[in-house]
Amino acid sequence: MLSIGLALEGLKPIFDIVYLITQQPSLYNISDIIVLYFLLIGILMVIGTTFGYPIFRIQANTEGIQIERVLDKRKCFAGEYIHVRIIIHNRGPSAIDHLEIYDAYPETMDLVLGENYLYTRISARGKAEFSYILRTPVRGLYKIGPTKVIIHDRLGFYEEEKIKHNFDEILIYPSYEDIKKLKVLGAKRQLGRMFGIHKTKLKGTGMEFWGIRDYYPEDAFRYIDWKAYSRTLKLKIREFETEKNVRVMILLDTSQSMGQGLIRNTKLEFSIRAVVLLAHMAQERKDLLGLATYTNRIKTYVKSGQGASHFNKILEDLAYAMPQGPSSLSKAVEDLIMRTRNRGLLFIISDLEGKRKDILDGVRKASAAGFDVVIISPFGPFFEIQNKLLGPTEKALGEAIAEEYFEIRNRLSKDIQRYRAGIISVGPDDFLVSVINEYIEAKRRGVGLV
Amino acid sequence: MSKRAIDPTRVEEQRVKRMQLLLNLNRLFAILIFLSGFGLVISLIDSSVWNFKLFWWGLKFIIFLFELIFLLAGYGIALMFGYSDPDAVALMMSIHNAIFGGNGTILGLNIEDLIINPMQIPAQENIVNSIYAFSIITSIVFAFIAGMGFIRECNPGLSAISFFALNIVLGLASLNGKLLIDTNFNSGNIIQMIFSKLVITAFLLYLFLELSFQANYIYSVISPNIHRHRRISSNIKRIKEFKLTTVTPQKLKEPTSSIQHSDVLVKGKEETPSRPAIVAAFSKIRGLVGRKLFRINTGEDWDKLNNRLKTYYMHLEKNDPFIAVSLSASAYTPSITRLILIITTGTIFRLAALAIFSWLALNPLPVLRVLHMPASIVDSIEAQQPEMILLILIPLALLFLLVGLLVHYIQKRLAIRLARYQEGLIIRPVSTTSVKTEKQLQLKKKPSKSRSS
Repeated sequence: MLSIGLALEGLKPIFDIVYLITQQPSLYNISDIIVLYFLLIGILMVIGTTFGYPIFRIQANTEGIQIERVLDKRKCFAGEYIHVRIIIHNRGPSAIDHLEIYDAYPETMDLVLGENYLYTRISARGKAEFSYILRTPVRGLYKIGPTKVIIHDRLGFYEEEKIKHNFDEILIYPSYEDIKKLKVLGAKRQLGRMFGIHKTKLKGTGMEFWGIRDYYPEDAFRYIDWKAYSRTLKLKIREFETEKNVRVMILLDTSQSMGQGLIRNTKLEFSIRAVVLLAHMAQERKDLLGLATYTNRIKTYVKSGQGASHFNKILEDLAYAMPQGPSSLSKAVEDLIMRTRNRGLLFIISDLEGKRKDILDGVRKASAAGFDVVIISPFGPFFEIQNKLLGPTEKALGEAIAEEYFEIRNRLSKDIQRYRAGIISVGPDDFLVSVINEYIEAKRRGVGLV
Repeated sequence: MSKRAIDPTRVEEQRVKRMQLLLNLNRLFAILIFLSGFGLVISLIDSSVWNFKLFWWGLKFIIFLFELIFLLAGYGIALMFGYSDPDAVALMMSIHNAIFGGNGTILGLNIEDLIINPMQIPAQENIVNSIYAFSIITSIVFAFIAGMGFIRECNPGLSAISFFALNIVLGLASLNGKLLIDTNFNSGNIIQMIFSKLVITAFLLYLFLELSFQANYIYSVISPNIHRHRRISSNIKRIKEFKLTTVTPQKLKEPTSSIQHSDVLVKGKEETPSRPAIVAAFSKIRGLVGRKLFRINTGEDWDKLNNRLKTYYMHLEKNDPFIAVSLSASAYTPSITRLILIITTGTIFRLAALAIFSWLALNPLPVLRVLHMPASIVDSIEAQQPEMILLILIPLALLFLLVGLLVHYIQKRLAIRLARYQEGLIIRPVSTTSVKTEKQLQLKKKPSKSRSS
């Protein structure tokens, strides 16, 4: 009984408040009714906006939101698609009335299907999910993320924003598109259309069958086709394709200046496309191909080799290549000479926008070391002037600069040729073709034979 | 039931239909809210305000003011440029006649006299009433247009404009003595307060604002998902129906015919063109082949991209039949019943709380008495003034904000602690009970050891 009494005693102030609330006399002498009206509206608005804040704060527990990102693959070729699935878990104790989620993806990628955001309500311990498909046009190492979480209250007065730094890396290999085209062309075997681009057969002492011809006295007995003799009663000789394997090393410039040009078609992108194509052709022909990327030193190095895994290694190195840092051909060549024992054909793919002395020094060292040097040089203005966004004046200016630039290039070419090295200035249109032609030509001439 | 037994597109369609229904209901709800608020305001104003003739006079007077300002400004500028007084007046008269027309008078007042003595009011009946009528009708039209905009896209900004315009209407009507609200109001009694016409009007108009925000909430949660579903479904349909058109052999022949000399393709080390034009020309010729074979991405081959996307999508769909639902995110739009429930309960709770807190703010004395404030404050004359409202209103508003910030702080601290605990930076202390049990175990083991020894 005592405890009940004490409890009631404790409740007395509450009763007092209720009494006071309900039995108060008139307080103000407000004569003008509209003043009171606006006073009331003001009070309602002030309380209406602030009253929801604690409730919003209880709800807006961004720490309780967990984002899970599921990618269907983490490595793919440029031009392929990636499916990104976002699963949002609300681990918090209360529901979130208005949740916005934005998942960031790299600018170079294209959102082709779905959306990278979601507006929803998510219950306590509940989950939500959305997905989207990205196209990956440009090779490189990319990060998908972060995810932005925005929580609003129902009336839209407050919002809480949080960026969840959850990233997923995607490695985009250079495009396989050119190789596919090459394969299609090889299958069609359209001679004359792109002379030299497909596998050329030369008669010789290889393993692949070439044809049968009549026997001549000087022919070796081991090549006599006895089955053909039994059929025709004439001695016949089996002929085979020749196998000339060359050793090719590519020295790819990945300095800052190689990143110039249209966003998705920079000098470096074209260079990489050319390297991929060359690597594929070399792999097909069992040639030994190596790759070194450089800026002011060798950044990555894959020694000459062949096979699928070797090709994949080259692709991976190319995928990671980023245009950054200064260029020093001389140091790169020095480094390359130290790393390689066997010399062969050396393709230097560089825009030659470094110091003139350094370039000449590099070429001289490479030639002196025994490399057959071919410089494929993306000519900067060809990559930049074609920009459709440029106006006629800008284009005219660009062409004037190009002309001056060409004079410099011309002088450099002459100096380079003194070191028995060739230089080809290429634009976006003839880049790949020039590289392939040089390779075919080198094979034909037997440069860098293994 | 297995996943494959359910038709995902059908489930999705049904869900979207329900969402669309809710959106329509929401729109209807918004219309009802707006019309009730609008009707209430109109019913509170004396019908004599809705006089078109007065409105017209009011409009004319506004134009008159505009013309007067124009004349005076022009007159001043003319004087500044060195015109004499009569010349400046004549100039302004001629300009006025050229722009506005007329015969040298505005609302019966001579322009020449008006420029010299601008403090003249047109001789016209009920000029004050006309201005009020014009302002009230303009505001109500403005409120109506904003309200219609709100109904169309549930934009809370428009509903706020409508709300303020309606309040302006009430204020203007009150100043003009045309407001029909009972002045017998006792703010001391909460029951009387709630049922007084003034409070009902204020509450209903506020309710209009509040519910319009709620309607906007439903709209912003549901509408993007419906649009998204439509957009993505149509995209998926187009992808599925896409067929790659084959290239005709004639088209293939074109590039081969243009390339005759294979020697231009093969360029050795000796190539040293002397002029840029030659390089450009060579580049162009060589490019003819290269461009055709290794097409440069100046324009994407959309057919090919679509075809690839189709293949990729079909592959995804084969592995996950619910991929369309995931892409359109339609599976995770909020449940309709739950939305209605939370909005209803939430609104009732908010309004009840608002009524109580508003009453507390309007009546600070009971709170001051509970807080045992000295009699000098409670019984002072200032306590009888409306400014005293601030004594409760400001701390109350700050209290809400403070509580909110406190909750935020606690949540943040907990999150940091949890993160550190997960990282292993905080090691859970070994409880005394577990230590005891280990000791007990050792004690128990000891005798057995001694026995064995």
